[in-house]
Amino acid sequence: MAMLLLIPGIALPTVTGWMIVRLLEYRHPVLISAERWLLGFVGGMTFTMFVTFLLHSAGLIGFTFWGFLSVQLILTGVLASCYIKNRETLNLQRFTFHDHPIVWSHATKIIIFILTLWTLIKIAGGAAMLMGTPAYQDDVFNNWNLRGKVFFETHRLTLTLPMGNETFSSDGVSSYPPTIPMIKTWLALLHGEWHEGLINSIHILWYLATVALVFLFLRRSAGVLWGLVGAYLLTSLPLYLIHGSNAYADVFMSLHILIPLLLLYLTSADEDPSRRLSALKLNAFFTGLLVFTKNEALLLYLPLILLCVIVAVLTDARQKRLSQGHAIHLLFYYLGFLTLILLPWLTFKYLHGLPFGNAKAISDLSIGWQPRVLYALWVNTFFEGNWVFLWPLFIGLTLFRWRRVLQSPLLLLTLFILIVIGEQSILYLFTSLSEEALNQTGLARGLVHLAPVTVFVTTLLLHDTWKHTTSA
Amino acid sequence: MFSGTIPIVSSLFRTSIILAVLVLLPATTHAVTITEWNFRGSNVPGRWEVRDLAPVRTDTGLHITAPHEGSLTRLTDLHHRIDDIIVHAFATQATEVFLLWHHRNMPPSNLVQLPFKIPSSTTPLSIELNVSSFPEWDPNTDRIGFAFPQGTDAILESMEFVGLQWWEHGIVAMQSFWTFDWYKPHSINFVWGPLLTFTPLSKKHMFYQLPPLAYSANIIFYTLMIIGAGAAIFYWHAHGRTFKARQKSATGFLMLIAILWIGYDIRMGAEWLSYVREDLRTYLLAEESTRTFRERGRFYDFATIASTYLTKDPTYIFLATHRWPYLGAMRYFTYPSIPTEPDQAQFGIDTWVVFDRPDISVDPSEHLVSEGTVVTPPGKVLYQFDDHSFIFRTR
Repeated sequence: MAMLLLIPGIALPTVTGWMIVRLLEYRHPVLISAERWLLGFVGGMTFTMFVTFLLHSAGLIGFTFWGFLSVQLILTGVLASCYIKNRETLNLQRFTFHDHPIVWSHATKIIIFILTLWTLIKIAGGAAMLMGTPAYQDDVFNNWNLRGKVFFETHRLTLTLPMGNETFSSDGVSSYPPTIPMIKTWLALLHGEWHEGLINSIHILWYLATVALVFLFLRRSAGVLWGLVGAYLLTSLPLYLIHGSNAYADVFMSLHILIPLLLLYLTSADEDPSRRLSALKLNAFFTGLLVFTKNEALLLYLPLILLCVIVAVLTDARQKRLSQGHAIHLLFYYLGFLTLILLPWLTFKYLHGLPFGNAKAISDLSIGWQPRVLYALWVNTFFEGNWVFLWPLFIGLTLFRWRRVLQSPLLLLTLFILIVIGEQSILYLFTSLSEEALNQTGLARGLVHLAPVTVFVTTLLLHDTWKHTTSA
Repeated sequence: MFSGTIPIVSSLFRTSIILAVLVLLPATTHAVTITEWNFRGSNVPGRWEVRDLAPVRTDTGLHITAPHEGSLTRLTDLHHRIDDIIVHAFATQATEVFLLWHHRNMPPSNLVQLPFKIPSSTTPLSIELNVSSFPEWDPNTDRIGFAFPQGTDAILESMEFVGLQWWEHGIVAMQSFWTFDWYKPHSINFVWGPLLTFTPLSKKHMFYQLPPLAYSANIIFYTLMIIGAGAAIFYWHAHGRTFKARQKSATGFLMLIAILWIGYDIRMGAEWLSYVREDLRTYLLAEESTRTFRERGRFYDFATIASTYLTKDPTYIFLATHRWPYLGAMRYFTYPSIPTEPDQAQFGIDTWVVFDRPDISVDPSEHLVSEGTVVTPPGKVLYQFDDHSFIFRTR
């Protein structure tokens, strides 16, 4: 029965997120209903926790049931009043698109049925492990769940964690944004006690949301069948499924990277300037949220996504696909969301002496060539069972269709993936983070973050290759 | 958009079925050649070269005592290659000895050494030597034997040499492809994926070594992809680079990728479901009083019960077999009660939580003792979880 509390646990944040998304789209919706609800769920959960964090840091609320609920009620109330005020405009506008008609043969249907059933069995098994077994992996009981439990017991954002042996730690894992632990705290408060299954259940929703978004955005770009291909490719990645079935933050991170990139793709692919503007506004919101997910986001992903946005906006402005007024309008959105989220979080980090970096302070890293790392990268990426053949396929298709990549909206996404891989490789090859590569502890995490967007790009390249080679 | 897809999907379906049948064919039985050298009674096989040892024939085997370091070697006269070796032996005390062999590319006096342990026992135990996994191994070695350190007191009962034909290596490779790892702490960082080994012992031991002494089966998939790409390009050129040829070759290649991907997914998905099945069998569907969880045994049920006894203790002393992962996990499960280490007892911490420590017990005068040494004032056991796990509080 406790598991049913997940529904009220995500309800108000999801409605909040939905309204934010819809209000940002305003007169020019770019999302279909399912996409909007998914984005609402993801954005709403993170944004609600961010506002809760802000009000708590300001001393206005505690991490109590009423503290969390009051934030959600206020946010829902404020946004609902905005929505009602504008309901005539909002209700008038709908975004729809039509799937390409396709006749599926009996064999195709059988293959789809078998692979869907197979995939659902695997995910159900993962969900059973996630919600039915105790905390097993290190970061679950030493970071994400532990911090949630500490917040739950102390009713506040406790940064000092007991290490045992009369020692305490106030950096390390406490330097991560508290979003995930806060969500766990909220779910436990809803139940009245700490319940492993309930507080872990949110992770499988993030996994399913990622798969669903990959499917939906591929469907609108290439049709239902390619949407299914993409969803299958993603769910068949062994390491991604393992992460989806564990209370780790990397699928959550990957989802928060995927959304702004999908919106950026939407922007580049849409010919309607107003809809492009709407997509970029949504992008601004989700790019801002990226700050409040994991430390890596701030250092690796945020600057790069902003760079991609700048390139996209400048290109659009140069090609007269976006007016100067629109560009300035957008600048305010990006500045607004980034300032709203980045500034308080950085101030909080600074005031509490929390380091930057992936739980290890950047200042502690030594620089120099790290032997054997290249071999570890090679083996982990291509000769283990983590990724099936995703990376060779992605690289092969990018090379094979390089002209097409250069000319298509996929360019920014492809560059993003390649630059992030480059950044991560450089970090491992030239800093003392190499230990993470050699022990294979952190090496594949970066690829987990990139997996959904890489599957998206790879599937579109497959679709493009198929079209190119089978059409006259 | 998908013009021409439907017949191709049918062909994909048929090809997948055929390929799956071929790949999944369980090679359950196969014959291997085994030669046994039996040392029991007076049957010492072959002519052995003994150095600085005085082996004695007994009914249970060759009794080796080594007042000095010594060796025992002989020429091999087997009619088959040696892929695995099984030694049946025992010793009064666990002893590290060396398997010696001569690699035919080396001078006759140079012997390669592989250390292994003869366990302490009163009856012969099987010691499996996965020799093929070492690049220095010569399957057609002409001399083999053992080196014993000073003080050895062991009985060598017999040796088995296992040799496989090339096709038997293929069968073992197929079996190792379908041999699954189990869920481990490192599974969150990487999974090995399908591996290839070529002898029964290397297959049996591959996931016990880190990294496994095996080849990644990905190489086969990549090879097939490269051959497929080559064939597609050749077909396209050979048929005058026509649109139809391009369509056929590209479709064929993409279908090959699809089949290989699905095949890989079946392999890895089956491994994933084997994790799930094991958790269901040993934990989720098992009796709460006996269930275990992965390599951590009964720890989680112990921690859950212990937390109910610790609600009034801000700190307690925790002892387990290893600091990681138990200290961190215990901290999580008993929070806000915090585990600490024994030297903190001086600060008045009176509760000791002991998990799976056979060396720690409560003596008749109700002191906690560690290997015979009293470590606490008298107290009482609040809760006994099993023979080696309990909660103790001093008076």
